[in-house]
Amino acid sequence: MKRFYLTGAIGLTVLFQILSLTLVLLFHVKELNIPLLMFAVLLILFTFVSVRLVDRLMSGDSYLILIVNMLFSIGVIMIYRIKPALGERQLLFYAIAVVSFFVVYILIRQSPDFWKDKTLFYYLATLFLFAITLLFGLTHGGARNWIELFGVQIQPSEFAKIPFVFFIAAYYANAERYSRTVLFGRLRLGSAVLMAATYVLIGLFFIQRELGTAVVFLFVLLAAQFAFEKNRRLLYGNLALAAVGLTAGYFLFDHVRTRFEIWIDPWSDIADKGYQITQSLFALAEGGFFGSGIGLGSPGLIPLGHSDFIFAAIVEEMGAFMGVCVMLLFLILFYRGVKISMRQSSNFYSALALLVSVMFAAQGIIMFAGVMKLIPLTGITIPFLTYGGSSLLSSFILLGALQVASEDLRPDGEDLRTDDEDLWANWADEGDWAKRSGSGAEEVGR
Amino acid sequence: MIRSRKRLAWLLFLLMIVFLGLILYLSLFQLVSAGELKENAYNKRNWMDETKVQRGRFIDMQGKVLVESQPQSDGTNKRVAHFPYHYAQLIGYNSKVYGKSGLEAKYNSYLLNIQNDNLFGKLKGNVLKADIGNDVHLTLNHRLQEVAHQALKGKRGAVVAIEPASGRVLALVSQPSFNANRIEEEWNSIVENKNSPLLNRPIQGLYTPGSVMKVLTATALLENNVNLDYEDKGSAVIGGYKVVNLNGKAYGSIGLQKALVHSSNVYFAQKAVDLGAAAMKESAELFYINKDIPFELPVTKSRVSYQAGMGQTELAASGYGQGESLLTPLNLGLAIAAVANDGVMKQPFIVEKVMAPSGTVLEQAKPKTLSVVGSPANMKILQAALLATVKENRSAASIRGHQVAGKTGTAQTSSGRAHAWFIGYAPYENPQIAVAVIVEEAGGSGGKIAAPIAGKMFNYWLNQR
Amino acid sequence: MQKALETLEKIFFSDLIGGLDLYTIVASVLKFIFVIIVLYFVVTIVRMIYLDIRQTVRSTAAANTYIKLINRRDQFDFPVREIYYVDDGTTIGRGKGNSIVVNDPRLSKQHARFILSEGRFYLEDLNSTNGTRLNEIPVDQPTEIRNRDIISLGLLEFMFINRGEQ
Repeated sequence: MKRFYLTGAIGLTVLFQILSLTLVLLFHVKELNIPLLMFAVLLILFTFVSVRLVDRLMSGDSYLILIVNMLFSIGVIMIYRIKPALGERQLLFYAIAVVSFFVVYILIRQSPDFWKDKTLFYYLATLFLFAITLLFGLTHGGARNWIELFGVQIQPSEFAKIPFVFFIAAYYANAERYSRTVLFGRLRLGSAVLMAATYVLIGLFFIQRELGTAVVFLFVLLAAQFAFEKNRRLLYGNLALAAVGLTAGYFLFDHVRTRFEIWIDPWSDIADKGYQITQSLFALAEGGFFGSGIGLGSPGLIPLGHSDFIFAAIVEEMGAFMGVCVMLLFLILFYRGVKISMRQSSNFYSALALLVSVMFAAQGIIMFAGVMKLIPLTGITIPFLTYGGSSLLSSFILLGALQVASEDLRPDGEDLRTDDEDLWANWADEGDWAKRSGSGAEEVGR
Repeated sequence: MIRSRKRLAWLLFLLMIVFLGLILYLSLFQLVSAGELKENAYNKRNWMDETKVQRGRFIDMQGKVLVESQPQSDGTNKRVAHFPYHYAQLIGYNSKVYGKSGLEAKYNSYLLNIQNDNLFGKLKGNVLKADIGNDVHLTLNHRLQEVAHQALKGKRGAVVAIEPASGRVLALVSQPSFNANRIEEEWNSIVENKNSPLLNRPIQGLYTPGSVMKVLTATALLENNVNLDYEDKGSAVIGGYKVVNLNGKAYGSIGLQKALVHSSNVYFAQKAVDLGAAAMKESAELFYINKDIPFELPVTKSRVSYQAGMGQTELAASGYGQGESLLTPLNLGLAIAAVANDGVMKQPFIVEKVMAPSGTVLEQAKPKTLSVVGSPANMKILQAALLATVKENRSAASIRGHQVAGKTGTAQTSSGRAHAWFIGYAPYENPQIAVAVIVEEAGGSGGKIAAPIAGKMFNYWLNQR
Repeated sequence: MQKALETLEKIFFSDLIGGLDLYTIVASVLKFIFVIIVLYFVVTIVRMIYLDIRQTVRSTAAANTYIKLINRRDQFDFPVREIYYVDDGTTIGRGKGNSIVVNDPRLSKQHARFILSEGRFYLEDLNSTNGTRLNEIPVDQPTEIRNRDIISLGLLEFMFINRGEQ
C-alpha cells in the first residue's frame, strides 16, 4: 500500500515537472536550445532516480527527498519563468547538489561515530566561514556577502549553516561530558558557554548586516535549548536576552530601525525603501487563489523575484493555493524531521535531525511571513526554493545528514535521560510519538 | 542531553500553529486586502496594461482633446496633456512613479478598458495587445477654462462655473498649477511648494466666505418670513460683541435689497440672530453645508457650526460670513446657481459621458436635483436684489448686452490679507452660467479683484462664444 | 530546429479569438491543474504518513507480545533495538524484506519466523546457517514459545514476552 503511494507521489512530481517545464519552455520559446532541453530531461531523470535510489538503497526515510524534489521543481519553474538564464544555472546546481547529497550521505554513513564529537572543529569552521567573508567578501546588492573562488561566486554564510548545526548537535550529544570539563579555574564548559559562543556568531552576522542569518541561528539555538536543555532557566534567559538584544539592535543600528519602519509603513517611502515589500504585496494580491497562470502575470516586477521574493512570484502566477501547498510541504518536511529525531537512538543524530529541520522551517517561515508583511523583512534564502548554488548545495548537504539520521544507528551518549518510557521501541515501521502510552517495557523487569 | 518525546512534540505543535497561522493569513490577505492592492495606483501591473492599451482620452464639451495617449515608436504609449497646467489638478497626472490622481485615477478602468470583475475579462485585458481605451467626455468648455485660467494667472485662487439648470460644471480652475506632463521631473519642487499647487482648490479648498455668505443668509430670512426691515446705525452690539459695517457707514432704514446692495454687516448679523441657530442650520443644510456634495471627485465638506445654544456672537458672524464659517468655492457656486435656478439646486457633474472607441456610450450623466433651497417667489425677490447689487455698485462683473446678478465679498482672514470673492450669474432673465470666484489673500476687495474675473467669464460665455 | 521553434511560436502565440492566443488558454487551464497536482501530492504524502501511524496504533494494540533484548546493546557494532513487537508471520533476519531487520553477520538473510496459531505462538527456524535456539535447545521444527522463553540467534539473545499469558 505504501509502495503504491510512493509510486503515486513520484508520478505526481514527474507529471508536474513535465507539464510545467513544457509550459515554461514554451513561454520562453525564443531561448530554447538543445542543452536546455537536456537540463530539463535531467531534472526529471534526477528526481526519479534520486527518489528510487533513496528508497532502494537506504533504510531510512524516503519522504524527505520526495518533498524536496517537489519544492525544488516549483522553485526552478518560477526562476526559469522570470530569468531563463538563471533557471538554466539553477538546474545545473541541482544536478551538483543531488550528487553531493549522495556523497554526504555515504561519507557520514560510513563512519557515523566520527562526526559525533568534533564540537570545537564545527565551531571554528563556522567562524572561519564568517572570517573569509569578512576578509575577502564582495558586496553584492547591499547586505549580501560573497567571495569569489576560482571564478565561482560563493556565499559562505549559506555554508556556515552546516557546521553551525553540527556544532550545536555535537554540543548537546556530549553535554554531560562537557559539563564535567573545567575550562579555566572555576568556569565549567556548560550550556552557558555554548550560549555565549553562539551569541558571538550571531553577533558577528548581525554586525555584518546578515540579519536574516543571525535570526535563523538564534532560532536554531532556541529550538535546541527547548528540546534538549536540562536547565530550563537557560531557555527563558535566552528568550529574554533575544528580546533585549532585538530592542537594543533597534536603537543602536540604523539598518535594524529602518527595517522596522518599513514594516510598519512601507507606503510613505514607496519609491525607495518601501519599494520591495510593496511590490511583493502587489504580486501576492494579483495572484488571487489560483494565480494568473505561468507566463501571464508580471513577477518580473518584483525585485529579487527569483530569490528572496520567490514566494510572492509563486503566488502571483501559481496562486495562493500553491503558496499554501508550499507551506504545507515545509510543514511535512519539518514533521518528518521531528519524527526522525524521536526515533533516532543516537543522541547526536537525533539532535542533528531536529536542528536541520528547524533550520529549514525557520528559513521558510521568516521569508513567508516577511513577504506577506507579517513580520519585518530580512533577506534570506528559502531552502530548495530560491535561486542560488550556495543555498541549494548547503541545503542538500544538510538533507544528506538528515537522511543518515533517519536510519538506525548505534546509541551513544553516556547517561541518557528520558522523561518518557520506551523511546526506542520499534514503532512498527515508522513509529508515532503520539499514540503510545503504558506499553510493555516497564513490565519486563517483573 | 535530555531526550524527551514530549518536548519534541511540543516543538512540532508550536511550528504547526505557526504554519497554519501563515496559511490562514495568506487566505485572509487574498479575501480582504488583495482587492484594494490590485487597484493601488502604485501597482505597476496597471501600468503594464497601459503600455499595451492606448489609454482613453479626455475631451471637452466641444470635442476638443485635452489629454491623450500617443503611441511611441517602441510600441508603448505616452500620456500627453495638451494643456498641462489647465487641468493639472482636475484631470490630474499619470505617472509610473507617483501613480495617478484626479479623474485619471477615478476613471482608470474606463480609460484602460479593463473589467476586473470576471475571469475572462481579466484574461482578455491581460492579453489584448493593441487595444484602445474608452474616452471620457467632460462637461467643461476649454475656452472658458482658458479665460479663467489666464485671469487667475499669478494669483492663488479658484473659479467654478456651473450651468444652473443642469448642474454641469463648465469650468473648474485652480491656481497656482503645475505641469502635469513633467510630474516626475518636478515632483520635489511641486510637493515642497508652499502654495500647494497639488491642491484642487475649487473642491478641496476651504475659505472664509465673507459677504458672499449674505446670499445664503438672505435665502434663510426669506424662507422663514423674518421681518426684513431694519434701522442700520453702522454698528451694533450683539451678544457683547460689536459688529460694524465697512468703514462704519450707517445706511438708516433699509430692507433686504438695500442691505445686500450696501453689504450691511449689521443687518445680516442682527437678522441671523433674530432667526436663530436652528432655522439657520436647516437652511444651510439645504445648501449642502456640513454635508457631502456628491461629485466625481471627493469634495471637502463645507463647515459652519450651528449648535443649539451657540453664542450669539458666533451666530451673528455666520450671518455675514465671518467667524468659523469655511466653504468650498464649488459649494458657493452651487448656491448661486440654485438661486439663479429659482431655488432648485442641481447635483454638480463634470463627466458628461464615457464612450467606447466604437461609439457605444458606456455611461451617460443625467442632471439630478440635490435640494430646493427656496420657493420661486422668494428667489425672485433675491434675484432682483442681486441684480440691483451689481448695477448700483457698477460692478466690474457687468457686461455689455446682458444683465448680471451677483454679490462680492471681502473675507477677513487671520493673515490680515482678505480673500476677494464674487458669486453671480448671467443673464438675469434666463441664467446660463453661474460662477464663484475666489482670489486668496488678494490684498484688495472682491469688487476690485474677483468681480472682473467673473465679468470676463460672463462676457466670453454670452458675447464671444 | 530553428524552423520548428518558429512554428511552435506561431502556433502558441498568434491570436485565436478576441486577442486570446493558445498559450494563454493552455496556461490558464494548467494553473488549476498545477494546484490540483501539488495538493494531491501533499495529500498522498499525508496518507502515507497516516498509514504509518495507523500501523503503529494497530501494533500498539497488539503490543501484548514482543521480544526484549537481554544482551547489552553496546557490545554489538551494529544497531539493534531494545524491543521488537511480534505478530503472526513476523520474520527476523539480515535481509531487507524481514519484519525485524538486524544487521548481525551471524544471522542468515531469512533466519526465523514467528507463527500464531490458535492463540499460541510458535518459533520456526528458516534453515538458517547458524541455527536458532529456544532456551538453549536448537529449534529444528516449529516449536511453541511461552512467556519469558529465551530466544538465541547468533550472539543475540531475546526474552519472549507474551502479556496475554500472564
